[in-house]
Amino acid sequence: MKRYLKLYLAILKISLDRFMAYRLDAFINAVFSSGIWTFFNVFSMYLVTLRVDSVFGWKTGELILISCIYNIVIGVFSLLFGRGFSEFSELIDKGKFDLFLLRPIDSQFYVSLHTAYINSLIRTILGTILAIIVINAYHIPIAPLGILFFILGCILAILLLYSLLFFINTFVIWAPRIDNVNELFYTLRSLGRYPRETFRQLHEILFVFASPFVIIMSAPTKLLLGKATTYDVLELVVITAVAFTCARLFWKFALRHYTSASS
Amino acid sequence: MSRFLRIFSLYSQHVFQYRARNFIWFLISFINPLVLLLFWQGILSKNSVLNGWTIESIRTYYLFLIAGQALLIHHVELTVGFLDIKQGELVRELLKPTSYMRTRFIAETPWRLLQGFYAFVSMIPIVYFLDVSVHISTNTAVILLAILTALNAFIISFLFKMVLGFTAFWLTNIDSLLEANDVLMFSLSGILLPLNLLPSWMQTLAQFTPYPYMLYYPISAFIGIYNTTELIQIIFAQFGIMAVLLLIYKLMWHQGLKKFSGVGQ
Repeated sequence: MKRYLKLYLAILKISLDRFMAYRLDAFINAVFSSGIWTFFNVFSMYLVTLRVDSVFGWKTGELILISCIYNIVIGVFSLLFGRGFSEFSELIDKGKFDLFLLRPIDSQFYVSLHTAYINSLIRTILGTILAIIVINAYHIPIAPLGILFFILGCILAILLLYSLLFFINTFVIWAPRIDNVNELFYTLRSLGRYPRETFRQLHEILFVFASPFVIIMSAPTKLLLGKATTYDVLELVVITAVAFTCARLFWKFALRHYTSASS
Repeated sequence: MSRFLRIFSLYSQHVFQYRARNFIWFLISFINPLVLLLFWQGILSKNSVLNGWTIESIRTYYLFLIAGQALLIHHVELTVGFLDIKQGELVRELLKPTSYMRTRFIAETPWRLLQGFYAFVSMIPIVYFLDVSVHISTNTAVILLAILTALNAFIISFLFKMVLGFTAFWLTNIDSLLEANDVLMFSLSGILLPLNLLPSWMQTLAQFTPYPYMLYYPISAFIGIYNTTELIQIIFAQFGIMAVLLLIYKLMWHQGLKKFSGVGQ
């Protein structure tokens, strides 16, 4: 564990050095690219709810807050895993994945965390600032204990998001050309900006499929607002544990079917 | 003519080569309108009419949006900006005995047709499971004008995306520009909301951009929101946008070619 922590700190340092190498360009790109999507996510929810007071039992301010929290969670998630997974299909397609398997560390750890996307921190920072503005503007009551539970909820949400992305990416071992699978995932994860009740209108199978993506944002928001029930917490914990275990087992299974494209 | 059919056939084969990949691209554009359709069902279940939109008309709107996005919105800017200009593939295109614009248009059309096919197939389960009753105008003149609006939208979208791609002649990296375009497209073309549900300042702003003419107007035309007089005005506005875009296209193409340099044998 200590070895892995040390290794990840080294990865973070290298990624930060890479970011700082062209700092002005990187900073402008980070601010522009991350900033524009952060504002759009929040502003679009504001627009959609502009003419109503509440939807599916959620007040307008709470819905906008979910969008802010979405940016906070996605910012941290992209920092840790964003770039690693965007390169995954190319690693398989070009035969570079062999080098990952030959290293004396866990392949899942290395393939997931071999590079950090520093630019994404901007998204988390902007998301946090917007969340504070929304909480103040809509007078949403927040308890200090709620913030603590919210952070724990966010950690679980990121782990769940990671497990789902890792599971989907594992298919690339069989079909390396489906490099747009991550784009599909990013679209699916944006389901989290909407209340879970939105998807109850779908067929049961589709609702079950959408549920993990939806609780990723709604559970931490409920924890922050002090509205979470024991069921909400248990559901997040159980689904995260199941998703992580499935992703891990599927990865082990897929590795047995990996055929090198190099050497 | 047969030469162009041959080129069309060749590019169609290329499109069908990666069906799964193409289907995933379709799913990406499919999910967003579907979610908004579901979300609006929640909003309009309480308020029966919102700015003239009923639950039935808004369902039809988002259903048509799925088809509209797949059929009408080109993504040629990626090929032009990244492959042709940035990676130098334009050299090969310049040597071909057909105009660059025509080749790109013929190459892009099979993508739209396949995406459109996916859209129409996926609309069937939505109509069935969500019990959506499709509301289309029953006026023949309106439908004919709506078809013309859609055809114009197809051309506007193509020209606009070509112009976006051409910015790569001058900019080293057009990622941020494309992202900014995506945000404007989502906000002003009617993907997020029908135009008349936006704040008035955004509605005014949208009128001065080509975005609503690519999606919102063609879709609304089919639903029957506009009468024939209004549709003729929209069509004239589309002709105006096409003329301006064509002029910008020609200017950028001629100036851009002077900047472009390719290496190879």
